Amino acid sequence: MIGPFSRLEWYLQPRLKEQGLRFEIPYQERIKRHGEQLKRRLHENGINWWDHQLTEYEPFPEYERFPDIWENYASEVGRDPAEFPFWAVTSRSMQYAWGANVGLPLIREMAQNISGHDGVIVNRTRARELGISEGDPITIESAAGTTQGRAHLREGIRPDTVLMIGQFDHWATPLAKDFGVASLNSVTALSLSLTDGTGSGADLMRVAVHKGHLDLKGTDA
Amino acid sequence: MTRWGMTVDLNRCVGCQTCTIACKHANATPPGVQWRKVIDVEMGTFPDVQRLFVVTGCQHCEEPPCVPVCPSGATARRDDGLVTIDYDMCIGCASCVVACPYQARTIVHEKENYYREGATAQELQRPHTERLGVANKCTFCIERVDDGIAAGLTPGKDMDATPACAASCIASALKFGDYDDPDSDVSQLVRDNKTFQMHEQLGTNPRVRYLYEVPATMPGHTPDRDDDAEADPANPLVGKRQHFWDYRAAMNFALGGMAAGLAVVGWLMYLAGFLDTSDMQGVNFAASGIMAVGLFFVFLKLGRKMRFLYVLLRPQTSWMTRETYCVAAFFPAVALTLLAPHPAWFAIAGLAAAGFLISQGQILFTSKGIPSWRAPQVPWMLMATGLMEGLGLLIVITAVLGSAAAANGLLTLAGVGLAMINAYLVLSYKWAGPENGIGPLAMSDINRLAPIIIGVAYAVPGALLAIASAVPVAAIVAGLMAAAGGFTWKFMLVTRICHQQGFALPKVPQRGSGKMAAPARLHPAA
Repeated sequence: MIGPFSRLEWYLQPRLKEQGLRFEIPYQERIKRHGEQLKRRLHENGINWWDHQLTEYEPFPEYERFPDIWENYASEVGRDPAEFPFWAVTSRSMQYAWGANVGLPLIREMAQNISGHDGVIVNRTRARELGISEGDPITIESAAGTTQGRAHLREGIRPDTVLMIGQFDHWATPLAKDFGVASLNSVTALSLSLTDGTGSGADLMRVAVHKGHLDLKGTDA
Repeated sequence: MTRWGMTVDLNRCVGCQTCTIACKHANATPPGVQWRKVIDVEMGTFPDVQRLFVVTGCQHCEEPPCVPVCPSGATARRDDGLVTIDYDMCIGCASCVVACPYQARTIVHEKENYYREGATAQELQRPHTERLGVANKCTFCIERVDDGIAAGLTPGKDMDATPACAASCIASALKFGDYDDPDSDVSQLVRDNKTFQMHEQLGTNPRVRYLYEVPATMPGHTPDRDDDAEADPANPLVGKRQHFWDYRAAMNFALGGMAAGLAVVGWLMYLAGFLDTSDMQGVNFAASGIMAVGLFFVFLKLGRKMRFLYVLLRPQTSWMTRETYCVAAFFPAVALTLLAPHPAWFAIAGLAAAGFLISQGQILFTSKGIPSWRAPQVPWMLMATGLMEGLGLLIVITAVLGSAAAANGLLTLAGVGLAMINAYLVLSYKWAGPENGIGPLAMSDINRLAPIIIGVAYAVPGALLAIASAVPVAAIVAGLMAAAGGFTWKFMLVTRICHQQGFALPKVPQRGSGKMAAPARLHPAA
């Protein structure tokens, strides 16, 4: 069992003090510097798309309608943004942490005690409006793909949002490959317009929620 | 004296399930069994919602409802407050499982491993075959506590002598200690904070206390009643149907009660002089046959069939033991009435059958874990319907035997009376349901079934019996309907209207947003 454990082993600050280090400044200018260097190398090869991403990294960001980035994505691929009224988000799972224990049935059993490990969390009132009950099979569709799971109705989520915990769809190892839960990974797009100045992006997607496990045409999932 | 117990701080628990895993590891429990379980609870409606995690498990009650119902004495309470199970004595009847209002107990019948491919090293080393087919639950890590004390350690202070869940809690939400020691963590926490015991109104006096406030800043509050949430099967606070007493147990109530009713009503008619000895022999023979079928089914349900005689060991408290003693008196008495008829044998058989019927009602009534069984109408309902079914069968049997009793006015009059009593009991059971703490899920079953049962089992047979003097065949139809209706009612009561007591939080931490939010601090930080 866990016995007494020095706070020094847990917290960074005492170590920083001990070694006379200071905290990194908030504006990570090296990212900007590397970005500029990358821009020059790309320009040498006739590639210009990075210029747009580079403008995003600012010491004092200007206000922008960030939701538009995701809402407009559907139009880019020839779909109507109004088709996708929900935000899909993801969260980590305390029980799975980094996922190294994903092959343990014991963890699977115990993680079920926490809501959302066996389904997509949907706002209860909104789900009822859509005719979706607890445990119903549902399909989450975005302009980029679909994923399927079971509805888990909760109050503690916005009516315009669905939550898919973890990303369990990429496992090829025993047990985890058969979880059969929905994953945000399957509905996100590898798109430049959704890629930010650090070359990454937010774990977000605009989606539609359909009752039933549908085989939707025109999707690549 | 020592009184082991625990505190659970609802404000500190983060729902990580480390205690759940620590328990599974320390106790090597099989797949699906969690002696310590943390449920994920949500209260309120969007956007005013709060989420909290509730640690559940055996509450090691001062007045544990599981102990008196145990027919073998396997379940007991030690002087230091630990509620224990002797795996070698338990017959696996599940009486304690349905008696526990905290869903703490379970029975696993077959050895299962976590991996299809075979047992892990841990599973091989600790197969715990002694726990198969018997009741099991949280022991407060009794070995760790006892071995720790023997090694000079203090449970609650020394982690090696503390239950695995409390020792592993990452948030110090779980504390274990001696309530009789004023310096123990649990005593201090309970002295300095407001706490509640779950289902305090049931009189179990649990040794697990829940803390719900942050002193001086957040007082905690009484959650709003939420009918919608209480009727939601997906809500972890809501009890689901028990499955430990299945159709096999139900058959004993459905057939055994009917048989006992038949023997009792037959004996009364015999005493009144309306049945002669040979009729009464036939009636008792039929009753014993029906009862034997019911008992055979309940025998099939036992987790440890070869230990069934241990059922006789606790007549001082267990109605299951008493029921078995009635059986032990009934069958030999019936055999004697067949071999050497004598009024005394008939009397013993009749009284034993009455005892059997009373015991059955009490067995359900003392199952405190099932609100729809512990309702005060239940023991009366079981007795009254048993008599009604027995009376119905008596009419049919005597008609088949060609006895004059079939068209007996007293019998039909008694039938009308019993039909009215039964109908009233079922109605009052339905009306008083919510008041008796029966939840919305079980109530919806009751509301759907009760009118049908009242009609088929009591009202129509009662009406038919009222006209039986004019239309003799009506009595036979009434008898068959009463028997079939009563059978169905009891069968449904055991297998469908059997939702476990859920979990309840009379107080919750004050947190969340909107209506759920904590009030402004009295002394805001300067």
